[in-house]
Amino acid sequence: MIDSPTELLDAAGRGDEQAQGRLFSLLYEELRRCAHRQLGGRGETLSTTALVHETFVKLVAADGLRLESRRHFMALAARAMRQLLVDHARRAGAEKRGGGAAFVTLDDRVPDGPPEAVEVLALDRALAELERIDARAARVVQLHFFGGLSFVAIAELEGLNERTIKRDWQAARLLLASSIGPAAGAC
Amino acid sequence: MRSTATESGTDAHRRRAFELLREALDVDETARAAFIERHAAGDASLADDVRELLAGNRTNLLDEDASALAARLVEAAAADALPGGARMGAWRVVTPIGSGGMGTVYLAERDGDGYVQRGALKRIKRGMDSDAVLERFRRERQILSRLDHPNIARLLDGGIADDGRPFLVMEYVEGMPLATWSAQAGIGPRVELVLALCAAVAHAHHRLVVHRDIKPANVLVAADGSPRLLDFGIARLLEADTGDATATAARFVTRAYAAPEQLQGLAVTTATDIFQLGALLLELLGGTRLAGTSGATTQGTTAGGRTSVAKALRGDIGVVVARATDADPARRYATVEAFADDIRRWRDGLPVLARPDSLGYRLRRYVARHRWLVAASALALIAVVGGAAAALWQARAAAAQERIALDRAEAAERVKRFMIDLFQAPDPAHARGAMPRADELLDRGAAQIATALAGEPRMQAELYETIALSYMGLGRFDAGVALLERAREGLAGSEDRMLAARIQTRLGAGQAELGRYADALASLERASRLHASTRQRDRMDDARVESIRGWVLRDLGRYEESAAALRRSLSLAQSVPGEMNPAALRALNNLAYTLQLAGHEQASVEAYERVVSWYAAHESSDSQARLWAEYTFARALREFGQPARAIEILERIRPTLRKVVGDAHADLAGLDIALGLARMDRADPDGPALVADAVARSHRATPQRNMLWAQAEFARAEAAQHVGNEGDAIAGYAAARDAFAGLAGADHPGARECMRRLTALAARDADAAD
Repeated sequence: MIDSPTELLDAAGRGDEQAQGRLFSLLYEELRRCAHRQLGGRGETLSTTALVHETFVKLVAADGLRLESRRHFMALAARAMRQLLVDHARRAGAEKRGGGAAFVTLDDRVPDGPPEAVEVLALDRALAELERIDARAARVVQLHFFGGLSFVAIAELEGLNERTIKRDWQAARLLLASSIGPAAGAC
Repeated sequence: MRSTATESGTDAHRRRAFELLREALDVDETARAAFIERHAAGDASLADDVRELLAGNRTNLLDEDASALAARLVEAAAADALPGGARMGAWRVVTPIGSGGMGTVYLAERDGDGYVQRGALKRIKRGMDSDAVLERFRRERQILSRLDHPNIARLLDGGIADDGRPFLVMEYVEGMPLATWSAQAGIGPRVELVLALCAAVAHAHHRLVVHRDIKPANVLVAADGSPRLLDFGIARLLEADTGDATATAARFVTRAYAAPEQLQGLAVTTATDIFQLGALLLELLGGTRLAGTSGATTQGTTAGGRTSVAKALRGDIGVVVARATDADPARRYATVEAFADDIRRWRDGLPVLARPDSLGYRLRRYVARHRWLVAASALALIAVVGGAAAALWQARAAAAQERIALDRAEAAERVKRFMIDLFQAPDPAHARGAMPRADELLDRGAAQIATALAGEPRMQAELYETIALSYMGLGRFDAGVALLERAREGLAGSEDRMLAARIQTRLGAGQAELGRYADALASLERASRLHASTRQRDRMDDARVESIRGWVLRDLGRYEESAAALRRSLSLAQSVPGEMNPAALRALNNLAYTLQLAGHEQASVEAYERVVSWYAAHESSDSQARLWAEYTFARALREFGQPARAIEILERIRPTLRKVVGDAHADLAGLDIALGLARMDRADPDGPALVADAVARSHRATPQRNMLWAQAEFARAEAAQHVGNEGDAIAGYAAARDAFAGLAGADHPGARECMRRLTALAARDADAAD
């Protein structure tokens, strides 16, 4: 049983699914803690980029990581962030009135969740659809939005030029926007 | 609402649209339209979708930072955690005691004047702290603090905590969750619990507060079984000020228990609470929830469907629930009280008002309702219908040989149709589907007899008689007498002397009840003559006439004549001397009363004892005749100076009588008058108040100035005199004297006794003045 994130990352890079799962949990928990910590932060919130970077520094020693592992870590962090958002949006009960879903008869109030909760879930569904239509564009969204990676960094990861990544993002943003509605949230 | 770009067409279509979109973004904006047109290659829907996607370029979620979003969502989901010892205003958080949609609920304490007050503290979520919301919070809190009802958990306090978030403190209720309690509670307590909740909600409605989120989770049951309704008006308090009515209305209520109008964002009114109380009743009685109805009702249909609810709960209570939970608020009960009344009617075996009812239903309920006095006549009503059917059958069996049989069958058929129409015909005055009360039904029937059965005086007379008996059972002697008089006129010259004599007998009894003693004696005299002229004379008919004559004469104060008539009645009723049967017992009971008033104590007590002991040996304790005998005997014992024995009997039979006749009945009031007088004799300080209360009830049940009224008034004066309230005593004796004299002349013993007491009181006044 390996415990250090660095070793887990290595093992995950070799295709060890169990290691990947444990690393994901570690990341998820760390991101949740960071997000929670930000509450007391008196207005000063870390950007996603800074957050993921901090997590990276904290979890895996900066030294000796191959580019492959680093890429893997970022992708995993982006996935963990997406999962975190979806889970908490769901916990806020947004699913119950979101997306035209049938009324469910849970003995619970429709909660006072922020309107973003509904949109986060809509985004999650739309992104899953985009994965079928254009997997690369979906990856770009995941890394940029949820992982806080710059277009340059994504281009580097994907081995493409920045302009292509930017186009992917722009097109995906328009497509997803049509599914999640305006940010003001009167959908 | 949403673009159809991703929802119409296949993945292939979407893939092409996405591809084209990406390419179009590379093209200069001015040239995009032409580019899309060209590359869509005649696929109009493809071009449309891409254009629409491009047009949807506005700020959206993806422009925000995921980390900030995560912070907000994590907070929203895990916000409320407060450590023990935390302070909210004057309150100290002790420990979490539960959680609901609003967040965690804490047990909190504050120091009162030498004691520690406990409360259930709830924090309002972040985002609910705009100035407008806070202002409303203050306003509503004042309204809510006015609610003061034993079944409502009070709002103790509320305020704004240091972090700017509002909080509420409700009365801390030590009780069991409703679900836990109901698992081991019987049907009776459950119904009582709902009635208590109805009272609480009615209290709030009178103060213009609607709960709007009544559900099992908001009810706690105290150790004594009494419920407390939590969170009154809190849903309203928390509504955000936004123009989007649907979102707001539905936001803070529980979907599973929400009324259709809440889900549709329509006005929430007191009818909403009625819906939720109905749903609660259903769940408590049927064990099922009205769940699933919420989705089904958005189309404005019936909530849960009347039939399905009615099926889930058998019988009337299903109808009551269906009425309370009608999808249309206007079709529900108008008030919580009306809903509670119908629950009580169901509980007490009375007809509920909610049912569009059938003939059989109405008849069944009618009989159950009027067991005490009208059971016989209600059964007669059924017998008329049933008898008509039987006659019809017999006529068919007799195969139309006899014309007379055919005529009878035809008449019977018409009666039957009449009865069915009567009980089923919708009345325009009750357009909302409410069914008429029993007496309204009788009015309608009485009004229709003349036309519906024109040319059938015999049938008419029988129906008039039946309905008249029902009226008199309800205490409406004037209406009953009027119908009997109409029946008598219809029968003038009829050869059916038996029927005519019976009508005259009943008329005599009704007139006597109205205090029309001269008319009564005349009617009874005609009945006797008719009996004498029939060939098959029945002694029982004569016994009945003599018995009525006996109590008319007694009321008139002609005790010797009364006793003679009652002795005749007794011997007519007995085929052999000493035989006991209902008619003989009635005569003997009446005789005992006459002897009592005439002052023949020993003979009276002997007669009473014979009657009472016979009933005790032969009839159940809730038999009407037995109860009457015991009641009159106890009354006599009090008159004869044995109040302790009287109290013993009256207290023993009171619960039974109450069960049989109901709270409002004159006989129960009469019993309480006797009980109060007896207690007064025993120097029980509660006696006079009981008398006063019972007299008031008696007057309500019997407002007409008959003997009963005069006797009750006399008792009122006695009680007033007993407590030294001479003004009331004088007024009472004077009113009683006028009533006695008006009924039976100034020489009536009752009138004379009143005068004697009035004179004594005046003399004492004069002494005091000297």
